[in-house]
Amino acid sequence: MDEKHILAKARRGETDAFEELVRLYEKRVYAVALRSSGSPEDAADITQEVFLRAWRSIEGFRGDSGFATWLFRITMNLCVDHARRRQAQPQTQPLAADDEAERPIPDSAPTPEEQLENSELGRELAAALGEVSGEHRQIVLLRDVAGLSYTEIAETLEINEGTVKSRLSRARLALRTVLLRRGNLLQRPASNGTKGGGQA
Amino acid sequence: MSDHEYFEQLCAAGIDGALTAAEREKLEAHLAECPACAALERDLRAMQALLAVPDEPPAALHERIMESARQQTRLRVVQPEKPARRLPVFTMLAAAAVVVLVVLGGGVGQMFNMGAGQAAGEAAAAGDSAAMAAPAAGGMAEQIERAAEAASGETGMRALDAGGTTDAAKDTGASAQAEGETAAEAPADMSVAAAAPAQVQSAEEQKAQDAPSAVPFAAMPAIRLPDSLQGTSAAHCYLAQGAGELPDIGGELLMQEDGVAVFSLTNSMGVIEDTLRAVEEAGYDVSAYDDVGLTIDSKAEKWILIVVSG
Repeated sequence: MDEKHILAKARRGETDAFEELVRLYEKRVYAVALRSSGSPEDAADITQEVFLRAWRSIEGFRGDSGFATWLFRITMNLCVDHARRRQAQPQTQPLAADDEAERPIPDSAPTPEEQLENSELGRELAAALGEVSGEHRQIVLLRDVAGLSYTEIAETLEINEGTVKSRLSRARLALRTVLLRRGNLLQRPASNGTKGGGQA
Repeated sequence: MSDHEYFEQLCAAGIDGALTAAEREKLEAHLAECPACAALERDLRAMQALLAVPDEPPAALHERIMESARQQTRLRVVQPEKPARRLPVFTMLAAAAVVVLVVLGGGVGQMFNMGAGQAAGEAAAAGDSAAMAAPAAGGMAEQIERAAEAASGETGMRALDAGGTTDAAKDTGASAQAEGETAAEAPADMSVAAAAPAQVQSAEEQKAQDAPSAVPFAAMPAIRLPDSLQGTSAAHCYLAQGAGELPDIGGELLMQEDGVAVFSLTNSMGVIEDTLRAVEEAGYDVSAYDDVGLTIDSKAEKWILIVVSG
C-alpha cells in the first residue's frame, strides 16, 4: 500500500493507518529532534508532540505538499520552539550517566557502551549544529538527518532548488569549520604535514 | 567568491551527487591537484556519515505516540465540545447543550468551602441540583439565568444579580446578593444547568480539576474587537490580564492599542495549551471571555486571545 493510500485512510481517522505513518517516520523525526536538542528525553518528547499535532490536524491536511514535507515542517517548528524555550530557561545538561540510568534498556538496543557513544555523538553533533546559523542547521538536518530530497527540502523551506543546493553547501562548510574547531569528530592530519592520527 | 571557495562549494554539493556533468569534471580535475580540497571532501563525507548514524529511539516511544493519539481520539468522542482541560467551566455554556453540576457534599474542595453543606442541603430540598454561579462576565449571567430557568422551570434557586457578584467572585465566603433567601452562597466559579446526561461526566471531571480564577466583573476592561472580527466565529476567546513582558505569542496580531492586544491563533489543542501556559508563566491571569460579540463555535479554525497589559 503506497503512502498516498495510507494517508487517505489516516485522514479519515483510521488509527491503524496513522500508526503506519508513525512507523514510517518516527525514526527520522526522532533523529532530527535528537540532533537538534542534543537530549534523548527532549527528543522523545518532541517526537511525541510532532505526531500528536499531526494526528490532530491530519483531517485538514490538504495534500498540496507531500506528507514528509508537512511532517518535517511541524518537526522543525517544534525543535525551534524547544530551543527557544530552553534558551529562556537555562538548565544544566543532564550528565550522560544519569541519562542512561533512567532509560530501561530493551533487548535489541545497542550495548550500553554504544548507547553512551551514540548519545555523546548525538550531543556533540547537536552542540556543533547549535553553533551554526538557524538556516544552516535546518537545512543540514533536513538533508543529512531526515533524508529529504532537494525537492522536498525546497517545499519544506519554501525556497527553490537552486537555493537548496547553495545553502546546503555553505551550511556543510560552516558545520565542518565548527567541528574542526571543537575537535574530536573529524580526523585531521597534523598541520605540519607529518602523518598523525586525529581523534576519531 | 574566490575560485577556491567555488571549489569548496562544489565539494559540498558533490557528496549528494548534485553536480552537473560539467561541474563534476571541474571538481575532479581540481581535486587531483588540491590536497586541501581532498581533505575537505573526506571531512564532509565523514560528517554526513556521522549525521546519518541511525539513533535508536527509546523502545517505548512508539507506544507513547500511539497512546497519546488514541487518547486524543477518545477525548473527541467523549467530550465533543470540551476544549483544553484548564478551561474554566463557563465556556461550556457556550455550547448548545448544558451541563449538570451535581453539588456533592465534600468533593469539590475550597470552591464550596462556605456554601457546600448549605448548598447541598438546599439543592436536595429543592429537588433540583442546580447551584448558581457567580459569573465573571456580565453576559454570562444572563445566559446562566436563562439556562437555569429554562431547565428547571422553577424558582427554587434565585438568580444572582450580575452586578452583585464582584465580591462573590473573589471570595467564596461572601454571600450572594440574591433576593430570595433560598439562594445559597455563591461558589466562585461553578456554573449550572439542565440535564444533558452525556455531559455529566465532563462536569464531574471539571470539578475535580483546579478552577482558574474568575475575572472580577468590576475589573473587566471594556474591549472592542477589531472590526474584522465582529460577528465572526472563534473556537474560544480568552482574556489574559497582567503586567510585564509578554512571551512570544505567534498567530496573527490583529490589533494593538492602549495596552490591549488581540491575537488570532490556530484552533489546535497544542497551540491553545502552549500559548496559555506561556502567557500564565509570564505572570498573566487567564480566563475565558465570551461576551465580545463573537460566535463561539468549537469547530472554528481560529481562537482569539486578548491580552491586557499594564
